[in-house]
Amino acid sequence: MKREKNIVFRLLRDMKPISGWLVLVTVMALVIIACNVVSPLLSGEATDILDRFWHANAEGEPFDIVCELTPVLLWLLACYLVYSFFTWLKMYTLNQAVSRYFTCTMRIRLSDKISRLSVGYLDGVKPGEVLSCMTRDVSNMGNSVHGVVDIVLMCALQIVLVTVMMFLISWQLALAVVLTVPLSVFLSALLAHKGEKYYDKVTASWAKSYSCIEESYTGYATVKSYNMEAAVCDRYAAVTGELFESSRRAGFLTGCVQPVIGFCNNVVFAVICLVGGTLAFRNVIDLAAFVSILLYARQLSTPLSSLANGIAQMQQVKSSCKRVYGMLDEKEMEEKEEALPSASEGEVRFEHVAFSYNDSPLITDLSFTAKPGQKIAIVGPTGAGKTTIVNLLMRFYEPQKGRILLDGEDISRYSRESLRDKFAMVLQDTWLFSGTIAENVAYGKEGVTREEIERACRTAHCDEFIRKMPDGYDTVIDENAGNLSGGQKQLLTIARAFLSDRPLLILDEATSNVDTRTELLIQSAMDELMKGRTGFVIAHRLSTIENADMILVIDHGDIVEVGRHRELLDREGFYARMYRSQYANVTPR
Amino acid sequence: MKKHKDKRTVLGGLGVRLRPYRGKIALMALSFLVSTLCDLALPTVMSEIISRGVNGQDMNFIAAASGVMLGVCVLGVGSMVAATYLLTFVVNRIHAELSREVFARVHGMDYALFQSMGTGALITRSASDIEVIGMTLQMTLSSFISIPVMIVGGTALALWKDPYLALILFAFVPAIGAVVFFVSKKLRGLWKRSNEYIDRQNSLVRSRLIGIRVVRAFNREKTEEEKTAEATREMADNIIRANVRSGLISPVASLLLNLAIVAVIAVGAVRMTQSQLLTAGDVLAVIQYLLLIASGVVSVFWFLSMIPRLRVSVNRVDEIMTAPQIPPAEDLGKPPFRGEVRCEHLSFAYGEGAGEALSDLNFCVRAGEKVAFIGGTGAGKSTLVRLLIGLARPTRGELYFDGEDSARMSGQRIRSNVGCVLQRDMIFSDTLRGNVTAGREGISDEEVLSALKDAQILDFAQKNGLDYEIAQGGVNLSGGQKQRIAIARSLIGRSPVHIFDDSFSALDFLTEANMRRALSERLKGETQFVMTQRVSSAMSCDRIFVLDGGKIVGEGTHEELLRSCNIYREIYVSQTGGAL
Repeated sequence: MKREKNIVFRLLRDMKPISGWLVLVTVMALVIIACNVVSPLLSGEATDILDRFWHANAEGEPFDIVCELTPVLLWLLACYLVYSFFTWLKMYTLNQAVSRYFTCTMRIRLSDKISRLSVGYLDGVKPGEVLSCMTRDVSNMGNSVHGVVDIVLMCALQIVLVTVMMFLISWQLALAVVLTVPLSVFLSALLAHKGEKYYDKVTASWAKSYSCIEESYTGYATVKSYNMEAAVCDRYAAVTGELFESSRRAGFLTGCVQPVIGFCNNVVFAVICLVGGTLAFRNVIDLAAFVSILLYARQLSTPLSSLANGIAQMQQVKSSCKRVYGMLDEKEMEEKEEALPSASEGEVRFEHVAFSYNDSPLITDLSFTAKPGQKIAIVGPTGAGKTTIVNLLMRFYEPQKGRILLDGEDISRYSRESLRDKFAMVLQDTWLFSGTIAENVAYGKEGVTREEIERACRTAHCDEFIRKMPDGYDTVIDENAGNLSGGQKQLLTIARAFLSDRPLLILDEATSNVDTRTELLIQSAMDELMKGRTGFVIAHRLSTIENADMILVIDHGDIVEVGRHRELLDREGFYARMYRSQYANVTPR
Repeated sequence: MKKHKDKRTVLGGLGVRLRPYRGKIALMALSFLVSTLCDLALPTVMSEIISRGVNGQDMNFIAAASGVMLGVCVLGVGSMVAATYLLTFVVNRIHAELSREVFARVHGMDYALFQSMGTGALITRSASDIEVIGMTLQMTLSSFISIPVMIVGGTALALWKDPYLALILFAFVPAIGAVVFFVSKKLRGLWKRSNEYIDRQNSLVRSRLIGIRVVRAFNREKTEEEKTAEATREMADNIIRANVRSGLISPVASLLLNLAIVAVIAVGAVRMTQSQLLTAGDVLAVIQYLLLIASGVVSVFWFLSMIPRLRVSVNRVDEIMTAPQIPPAEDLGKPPFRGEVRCEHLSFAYGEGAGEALSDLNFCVRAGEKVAFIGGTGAGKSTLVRLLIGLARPTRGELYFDGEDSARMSGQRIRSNVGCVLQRDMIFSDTLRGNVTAGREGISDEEVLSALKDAQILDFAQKNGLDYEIAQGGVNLSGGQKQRIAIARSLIGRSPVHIFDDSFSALDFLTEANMRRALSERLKGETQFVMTQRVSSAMSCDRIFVLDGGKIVGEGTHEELLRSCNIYREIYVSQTGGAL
């Protein structure tokens, strides 16, 4: 309970920067309400004048209709004009304030937060969740501002003022209205609440039917190859049957809300006619009062039901706030100020490093030394912990025990930025962003010239295919880089590493989907890149590491064998077995 | 317009679709009629209360008329609820039937047609386009009675009260409708624009999260932050623009409506100087009619502004409805293949004018033989797979199974004899068991487990159970696990011919070696095709075909090809560094 209060309090505090705007909007809202309260009085007055005019006519008495009616109508006109103008102005101001100064700021704050969160945390969340937090949840929070102004302020004030006005005009009629109007609100809230339950079901079964469509279309060839068409159609029929049932119920319940509200309004209408007619008949009230109350009653039911809706909506805002503040409160990485010395020999030492992603230990005690300029190959089956070593080396994750030294300095005592400045990295999952090829290659180093970019591309063997593209180096790579092959993407990331020119290097080899020619190019580019640098190669193909200075054979997170290619083969151990399984003709014939 | 005569189209078939519900629809129309008449009756009774009751000093009339009003209210809400019930029933039923039909028609298409229409486009058609059609149907059915009755009846009553007052309705009501029409038409573009900017910001952040390691490695968080902030600001601008435009409707429409009310009062006063018959109650009643008619007209124009979008959706769904269907297979009862596969001058091109993806393939694979096709991306391996399982048919040349021309066989018959693991085989959101059985009935758990065992994924199955729910897209599985489940699926049931299209690429070498051993045991005597890029996967086969640019450029055993085929040697050297 206390936490929930805190969230509301925090939301209000975050609205502080726009409080000036909110005050302005409140003033506008007051004007609008004033118009709402005054206009029924004026229309009632106008009707009464018409009625008196009719009576005067009937009895042949003189009655100056123009003189009586004109001022009332002019006031009414002015009132409506002011109402519409201020409704527009309020909407405009509120939108500017909320979208520009509240939700936008909130989103930028979340974006800043991302850059201070650890890779470990970001690995654990789905990108979709972060995105929905940044877009949907924040816009829900923005809606809550609209809600506070529109619902709490406008509706509550209007309800109070309208009720007071009715009592001032005629307490008997007002009482009749006050007793009947809440009925409609209660009924519609009840229906909406019931409908909501069904809407949850509708959403769930809609998602089911959508995913049925999506996967059976994406896997169209699979469906065909197993002759599964009939089975898939049966499944879809069952899912749509569920969807039909839930959306029919939900649709019926919500479809009833409007008629029921209408019905209640009409009952109020009838009650006013009965009570008002009787009172007017006995001359307790005049026709003006009768008409004004009739119009006020209509003004009462709308804000009451939106107040009920608004309260339900606030529930949704609360869970959105929880997610947004949850992310903003997430623990940030600790960052050291001190930078590593800028010159680097390139010696890397792991000393009794232990690490696990969760409870089950992965790396228990890892030690090795990479001398400057050496090529270190890391091999082992999938899931053995090859990538983990890179994660620790780049400080995407921190070891739980032991330490990692670069040129004899414990890297955890310095800033991550200064450490990463020493490494260039080429990963198996090539990452290119939507931008030009030149921008993508230049990502590793700021302020480079086109000259340097082209030189790096030539060294990485990608100059040739880049020039063949429609706009050369200015070709825009779309989001999925669909206009490039897997091998070409790999070459671009190698060029990126060349350009950044760092003393240490991490290479993760591509496994498949590269044609032979490109593969040879990649290989020669990687060899070129490796020259004069301390390099760590995560190898998937054993052939590429035969010339490595040291091969670390990893299984279950620990080094099971160390040595050069020949030594390891002669040892007839794990490495030799892996090597054989890759090349030997295992099927006895 | 001729197109709509086609009974298969959405509009052309609407009559057929609605016919089973004609009783319900008639009852629904009646209910809507009653409720609309009730809505119109209320202001009329009210004006009578004022004119005859209050002014006529008739207390009994006031009481009686109020009673009538209450009765009308009850009747109105009762018929409205009944109408809503019938409406939601009919609309959702038709919506469900239409979606099922579209879905079934998509699955009854030819593979080439499916590919040319595109997965994404077909998903949109099957989901949101039908949604639009259903919504429109709901709007149409709910208003085809009530809106015209409301407009015509309201206008008639207003004319009956006073023709001059009614003129005001004619002036203002269409104006309000026009405002709604034009603003909402404009809005659609604005919303689309603002959605595009939301997508842009989303894809930027998504790319940043996916590439987090590269971003951090090159210390570029600052740049990414700035890019995101920029996109967020642009997004805000566009959202504001759309919001501000849509917020315009309500103040403008209510201003016009209010002006009309003022005009009614003013004109009412003028009319009263001329005629004794018009009372203040009548003026009030006309104002109520005005409000009713305006709401009707607003929905008509709202509907009109929806039509362009509806037309797009209907046309898109019609493309599916009128697309040719594969005729039902009649040769499924024939005996199974023995397993010999022969190609003569087999060529294939994707569409006319496109280059040949496969050209002049000639080979004969004996029953029980195990052959490999090796080649890089674009060599034509996957195209050959499609031909072998009858998803595509040769452009030229013939493909024979046991000497029988495949052109005379249905795709279903071919596929029930040729088991295949596709390169990107789909894993469905279903249980592990459901994924392995793939809709085939009467398969025991023992069979499932034995297939999983040979596919080297028994440990996973035992740990999690056969009822393990696999999430959509197999996100709770690793690439290797997905591949092994797909292999297990293809091992169920006896197929005389098996195809593995790059099916071992996500497996480490030890697992692949074990799998190969298990498969050669299990599939003894059955024909096997292994499509691969890896020499290590191909070398254990009886014969290897080297594919390059859609042609067979080499054929023989591993040793023979090393001697005779340059391309094979090149592949071998690139993958092994020339060792051994």
